[in-house]
Amino acid sequence: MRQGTGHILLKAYRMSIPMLVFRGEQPALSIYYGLVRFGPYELPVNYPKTVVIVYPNRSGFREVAKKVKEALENGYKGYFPKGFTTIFDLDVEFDLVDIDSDKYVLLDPRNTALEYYKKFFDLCESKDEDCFLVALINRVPRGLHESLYTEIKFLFTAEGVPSQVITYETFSDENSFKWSVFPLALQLFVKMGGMPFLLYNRLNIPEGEAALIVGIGLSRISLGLWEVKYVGFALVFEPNGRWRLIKWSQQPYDRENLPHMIKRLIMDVVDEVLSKYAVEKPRKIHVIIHYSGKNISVSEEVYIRAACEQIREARGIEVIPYVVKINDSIYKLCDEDNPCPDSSGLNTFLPWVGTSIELKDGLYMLQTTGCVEVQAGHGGIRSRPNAFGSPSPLLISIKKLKGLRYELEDIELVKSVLYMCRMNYVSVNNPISRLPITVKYSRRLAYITSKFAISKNININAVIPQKIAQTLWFV
Amino acid sequence: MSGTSSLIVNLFRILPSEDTVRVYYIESSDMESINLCVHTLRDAGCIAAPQYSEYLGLPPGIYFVCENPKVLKELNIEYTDKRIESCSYIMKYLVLNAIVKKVNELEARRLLYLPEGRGFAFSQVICCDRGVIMYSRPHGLFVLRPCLILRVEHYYVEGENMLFLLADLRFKRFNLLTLSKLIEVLEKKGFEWTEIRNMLCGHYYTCRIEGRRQACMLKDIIKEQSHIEAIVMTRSGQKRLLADSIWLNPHPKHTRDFIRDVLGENLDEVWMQQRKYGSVRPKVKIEMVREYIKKLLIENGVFPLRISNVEYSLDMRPQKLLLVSSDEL
Repeated sequence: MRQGTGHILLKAYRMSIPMLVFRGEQPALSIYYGLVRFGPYELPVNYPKTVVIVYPNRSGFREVAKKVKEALENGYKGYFPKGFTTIFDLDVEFDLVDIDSDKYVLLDPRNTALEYYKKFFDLCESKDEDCFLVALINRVPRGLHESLYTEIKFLFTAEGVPSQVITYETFSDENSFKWSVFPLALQLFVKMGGMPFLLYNRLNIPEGEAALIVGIGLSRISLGLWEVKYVGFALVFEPNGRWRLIKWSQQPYDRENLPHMIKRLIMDVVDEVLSKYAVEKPRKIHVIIHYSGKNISVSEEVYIRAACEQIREARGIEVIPYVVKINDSIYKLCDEDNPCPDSSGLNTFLPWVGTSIELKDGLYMLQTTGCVEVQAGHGGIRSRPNAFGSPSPLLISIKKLKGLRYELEDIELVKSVLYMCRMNYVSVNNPISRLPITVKYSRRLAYITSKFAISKNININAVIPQKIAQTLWFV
Repeated sequence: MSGTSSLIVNLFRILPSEDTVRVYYIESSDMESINLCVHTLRDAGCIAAPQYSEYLGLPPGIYFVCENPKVLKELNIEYTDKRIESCSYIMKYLVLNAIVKKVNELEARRLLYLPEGRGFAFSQVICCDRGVIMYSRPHGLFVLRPCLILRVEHYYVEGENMLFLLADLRFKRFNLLTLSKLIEVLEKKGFEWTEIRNMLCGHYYTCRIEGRRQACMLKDIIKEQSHIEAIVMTRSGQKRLLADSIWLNPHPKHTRDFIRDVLGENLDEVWMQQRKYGSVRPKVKIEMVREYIKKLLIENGVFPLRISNVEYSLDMRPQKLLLVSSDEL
């Protein structure tokens, strides 16, 4: 019988949490501190001037809607000081409108959503400017094909109206309310087209070259009884975290179609970013593809390479694709040298966020939850856990496409995942999300997409109205 | 991080009794034929694993072991004997499949509990204690069980192949909220049939259709002489199902209120207990994992695990990852 030594020797990296940059290029570690102290990085050019909160006319809901309006207008204690117009420097009004209690039927999502729609537009048509919807509803299961959430999202998105759904369950609870008001305001700002912050630290890309980080998501969607389709989308970010665009593609459900779809998506997004946003033509573009889900097959690899080759031929720019697969794991790690006490003063021994361990060639563990440095309201830095219980690291697999000469090091690609975890618009206190923004919205987008795919069996890219196409309407 | 640091991890080393293991091998590099052959061998009761390309010196093909060699004659397939390192990469799949086989046998003997439809997928297996940590009161509609999630991992470090059991522990809540159970409780509480029907139609459900679970909405309930059926709306249209194949989704607030206020079930105790177990930090968690491996896998005889000529035993010490680095990026 062999005897184990009890240890495994592995190579590890400790990556620092990147700083964010706010108004006036001011850096800060915390979103809260950065926004309160300096303000958002970039304001939207055209934005809705009225936020309409629509709620069912029931006791409980009414009070919650009023409390949300009051908090957005005037702030809420230290949790959201100053209010929306001051923090985000936008001239916005807040209005309340209710729908009849008996027309709020959770199990009839279509007609209930239509009621929200009717009341919203009744009020909004009397205004000269565009409006923004905040819909207060009960929490509904995310996996449900037809739910009030997806119906509302679908109806309003198709009309080019940005919307935010909030739940009675979250906002009726005082403890959840106080932590949710600032993130709600942040999401409104983002969906209005504002850029609250960007990454201060950047990936190590050689001068004269550019990089794009592309999140690819694929969903299998059932359309009625017999028809099944693949719906794919690609989200494109610059290395500084600036979102550029989203593109969709749909194909009949057949594995043979997948490689074509991936190729089309990559070609379309890279080409559009180059034509719309590139001020100077780069010598070379590193396209880092973040991907979560099934393995990339050999045929898909071939098509990814072909897409890059076509861009090179058409635009005379060398394009190097990197495929970075991101998965959950069940690893649990304990760092006995890092007490990292929680708010009760109990030691958690969580590993540092940013710790990356090379398990084998091209396979890395990345701790995006654990012990993290945060910036308190007064600006001081301390460390604390950013997760409950025993969080697991992500598994990052770097897929090397045959025949390509890679120039970015693996660890730079792992870093791209950590950096995209920093682009977090749902919390102002947690400095880093568990999942990168590039793959985080895959599932939610799939649900909304399925509504578009069913009711408008056409090019989804053409369905999203121009008014909101340039905003992160889906976060 | 500079120099060397260490982390304790929920990995437990799997130690073989011999350096090499005798397996059967079928040469192939075509993915579809490999998959087809693996399925055929598994259906015949063998433990089989695919390797699609050469890795660490092992050629592509199918690696397998069969307790009953007669099966191979019946299958009429050509194979060869092969001796490979007992901790080589392909063995991670054979060891996991051997664990799955044993766990299934233990479930059949009612020594372990496997969650329906979620037992074995994505190279991992979930097995739960038959013992229940807690029942909700008074109807016992929810139970809390400790479950181990198991994977086998292969590491190749400094020229040595190693196998590890990667194990996590979750305290899972299982509910017995079938439509028939709900009707039984409501009838006992003295509700009229029309009231019951109206009350139950206002919630979300999960339906089992052709062995698969999917979200559904309840449209109507029909009481037949010997059984109860329901009309449900699923993503593939309207269906008529037995009330035993429909589960209430207890997550929405109005449904939790219904369970608490109308059915009279106390949910808070089970929820709080589950949250308490979920809140433990890694040091305690890894120790708990170790305890449950001992209880569910060692005491029930999953380990030591025999594959062909090799006995695999488990080193119960959680491993330490010694991390070597000098750079802070």
